Amino acid sequence: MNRLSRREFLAIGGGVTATSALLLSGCGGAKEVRRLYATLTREEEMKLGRDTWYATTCQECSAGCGLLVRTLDGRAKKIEGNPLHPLNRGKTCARAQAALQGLYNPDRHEGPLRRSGPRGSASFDRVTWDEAIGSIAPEIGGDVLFLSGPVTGNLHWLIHSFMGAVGSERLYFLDTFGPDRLRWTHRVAYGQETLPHYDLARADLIISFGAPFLETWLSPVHFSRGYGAFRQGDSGTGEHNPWGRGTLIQIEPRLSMTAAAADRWEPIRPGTEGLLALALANLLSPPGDWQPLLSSYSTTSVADRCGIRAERIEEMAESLERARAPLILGGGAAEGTTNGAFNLLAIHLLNRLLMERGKEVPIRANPPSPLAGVERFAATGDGTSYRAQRRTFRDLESLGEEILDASESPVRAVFLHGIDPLQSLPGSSLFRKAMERIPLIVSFAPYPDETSGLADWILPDHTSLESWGDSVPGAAPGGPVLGLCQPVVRPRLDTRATGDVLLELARAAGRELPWQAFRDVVQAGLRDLHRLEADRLEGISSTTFEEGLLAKGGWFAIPGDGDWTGPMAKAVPAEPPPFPVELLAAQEASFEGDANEFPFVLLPYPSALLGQGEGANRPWLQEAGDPMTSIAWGSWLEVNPHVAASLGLSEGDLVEVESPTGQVVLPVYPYPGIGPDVVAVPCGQGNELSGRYAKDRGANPLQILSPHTDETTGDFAWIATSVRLRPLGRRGTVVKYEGSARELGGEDHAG
Amino acid sequence: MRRRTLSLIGFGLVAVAAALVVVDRLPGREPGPVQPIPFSHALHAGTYEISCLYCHRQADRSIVAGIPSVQTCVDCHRGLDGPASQPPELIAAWENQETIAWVKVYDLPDHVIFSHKRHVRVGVPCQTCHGPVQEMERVRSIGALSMRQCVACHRESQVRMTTDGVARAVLPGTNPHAEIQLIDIKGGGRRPSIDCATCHK
Repeated sequence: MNRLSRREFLAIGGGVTATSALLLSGCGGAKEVRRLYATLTREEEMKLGRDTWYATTCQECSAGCGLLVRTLDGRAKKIEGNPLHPLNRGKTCARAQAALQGLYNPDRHEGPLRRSGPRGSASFDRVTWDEAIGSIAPEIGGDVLFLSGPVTGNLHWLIHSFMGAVGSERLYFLDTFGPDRLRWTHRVAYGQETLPHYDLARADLIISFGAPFLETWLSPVHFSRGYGAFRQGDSGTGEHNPWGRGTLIQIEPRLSMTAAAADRWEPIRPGTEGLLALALANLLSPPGDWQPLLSSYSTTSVADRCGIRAERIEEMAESLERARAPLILGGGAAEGTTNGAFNLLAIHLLNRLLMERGKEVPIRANPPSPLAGVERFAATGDGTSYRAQRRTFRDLESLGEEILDASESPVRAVFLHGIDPLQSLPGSSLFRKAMERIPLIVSFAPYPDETSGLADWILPDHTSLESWGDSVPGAAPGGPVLGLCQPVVRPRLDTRATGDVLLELARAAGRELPWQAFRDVVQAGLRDLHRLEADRLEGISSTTFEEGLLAKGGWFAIPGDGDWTGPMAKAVPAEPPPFPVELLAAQEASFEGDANEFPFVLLPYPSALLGQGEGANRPWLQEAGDPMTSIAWGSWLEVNPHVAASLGLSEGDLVEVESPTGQVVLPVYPYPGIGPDVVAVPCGQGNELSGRYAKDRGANPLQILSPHTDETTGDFAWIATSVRLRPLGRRGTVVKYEGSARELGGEDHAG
Repeated sequence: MRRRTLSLIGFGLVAVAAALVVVDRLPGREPGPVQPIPFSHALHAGTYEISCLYCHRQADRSIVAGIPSVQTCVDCHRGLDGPASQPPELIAAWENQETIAWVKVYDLPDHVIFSHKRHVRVGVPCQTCHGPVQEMERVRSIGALSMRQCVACHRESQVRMTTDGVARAVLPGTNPHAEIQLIDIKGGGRRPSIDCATCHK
């Protein structure tokens, strides 16, 4: 019998298969018909709505950039930067763009709510405003606690006045990653009450100790512009860098996006930034009276502790010697440790030394806020300058302890504004535990947040696009800025501005404040400003002035427009007070968790898109993807690739990240931009109650931190907890846009 | 012998099938879809030399070229004489104020972002991708829109500046110096991007 060989069988079989495949595809069913529908009328004849642009101020972070919002038929459509605003000059970041998704967020509270189930059940009844205010007002007295996020301008003043009227001093403005330490140390180092203006555009060398100034630090859009001019030299942007292209060295434990934009990234051990700054100062031949302090920071001794080679330190000192306009920045990881204030002071000292050496260090003094001259602000400030009696996270923890120890809580009611304590306070925080013992919790949050489950009442605020208000940027651009907020649309829902609610509550409680509505307070501020600036405003009426400011977006002089001769031009005072060298007694950063048992320092960092979690309910921000890892819709644990390999972990493997006080589960992302003794996690995710877009994604690293504080200032130290990793043997999901570092030909950092 | 016969039959089948398919797919073989109105590009763009941009007026300012509104057609046709210039489907659509549902000839997959504006503004002729539309009675796809062809053209072309400061595409096999003065920047022109993200956002 003539049998087929295997080869022939395959050849014939393959041929037949291929033939059928080709024939089938060639004669396949009809292609789907897709159609194009012609419009009826020519585009020239279409009747379009007329758009109106309103100037307002961004409230998505505390930088205070100016915005222009396009509205059509009474709806906000698009957000752009206000070209007249000196901070951002027409640019915005992604977060400002996404403010629209705050306005139209489908999960917004539609009106005042009263808790209907047990605490934590997050079940509420809709009530009327009269009912809510009528029920809460009788509870208001001297035992009220007010917790607020960072607030400036008239709302800052109003909250102070409200607390004054009810007779309580328990007022906290907390900002986890905010500039409180910087303000404190800057005052010590330069004798100034306001934050300085770091004029990046006029530096030829920037050494940044951890300051993520292109992402989240102080005023990222403003700094991005400055960085552009700093890099491009004479770029014709009006922000001319006289020195040509500048050099950026970023020193931080984890490669941030700012470090990725630098010429050089120097990984450093967390908490040793101050030592390195002092070692650099020591190499720069300091004046005689500083020598006893600085001589103990020899390059070799510091090199080991920082994990940076001595030659590199010497090279950096030489670059500083050569530079004509060097600038040292300190922020981010450098201020997050328990010795953060020490690190910042050491960095200020380095700047001071460079100034004394005759370098043109581009640190400018910010003039006092435009509202500083208004009498009613004299006692309270406007939230932008140093306050001696400010309350810190440390004070909040002692209050928590007090509440837990007492048989009956000494705080009867807490008001929450612009803050989500269950999201932002560490899981083991005493105050967090104590909150359950406070009889009345009132939240002003416009959206559901993690604390809303605990709240007894929710009195939802308008979103920023529906509100009156003003905003004084803490990190002003070297000139006076008062940004105005105006409603660009009518309030969509039955919400009320928190300023109005505070006035009503005070009225209902019989502790009236002399204002009917918050809008009146804002307008009074403008009239005060008009009076203060009368000699510069020659015959312009108060009404014209107010309308002009609303159209322009606020009161600011535009740097370089020629008509401003105020404090803009001045550098830091030529004769600042003597540097308090005695404050520079070395401080070591301490980390909760025994180094053998918990081998990695946990480095949480605010997400450039989601912040601490404020952006998590905006799908645009969830979708945009992290600038470094490109990961979207989730969170991850950054681990040095060699460490990951030694633990048998690859991308997407789930690990339990365990600290002495808690644990979270995260997928691993082997990251070449991190040292072997540090792991990093972005903040912003890990929300359960914050709406459909934020729910059930990733984990919140702040939950497993220990409630440590800065030894000097009492602010929350978010880099003070060590962790260990326990592989779970399961895989999670890492949704990202990029390929792996190997695919992209990246070189691993040996660590 | 039987083995060889079987093999021959097998390969024969394959060859015939392949030839059928290839011939059927040769450019110009497919007549193009039937449109709701028998509109002739050969007449409008060929004989009457009406500019492409007169009807596809978004092509130089949008990522889509756009199709003319019913009114755009009617405005011209209203002024013409004779029954041949009064296509009943068009007149009916305008009188009933109804749209015309043209059949799409070119349909890129959703993961490709192609901008007409970018290409038209640097002077890439429409015909580079759409073929000799001015000779087609019924427009058909010339099958030029594969990624291979996009990338090949991007590899072989340049973008250069005219003396007036206008960016200008220099396509392979053309000599733009004959028509316009181009500035010689060092190293010639700039290559159009072949980054993935340029087309696949």
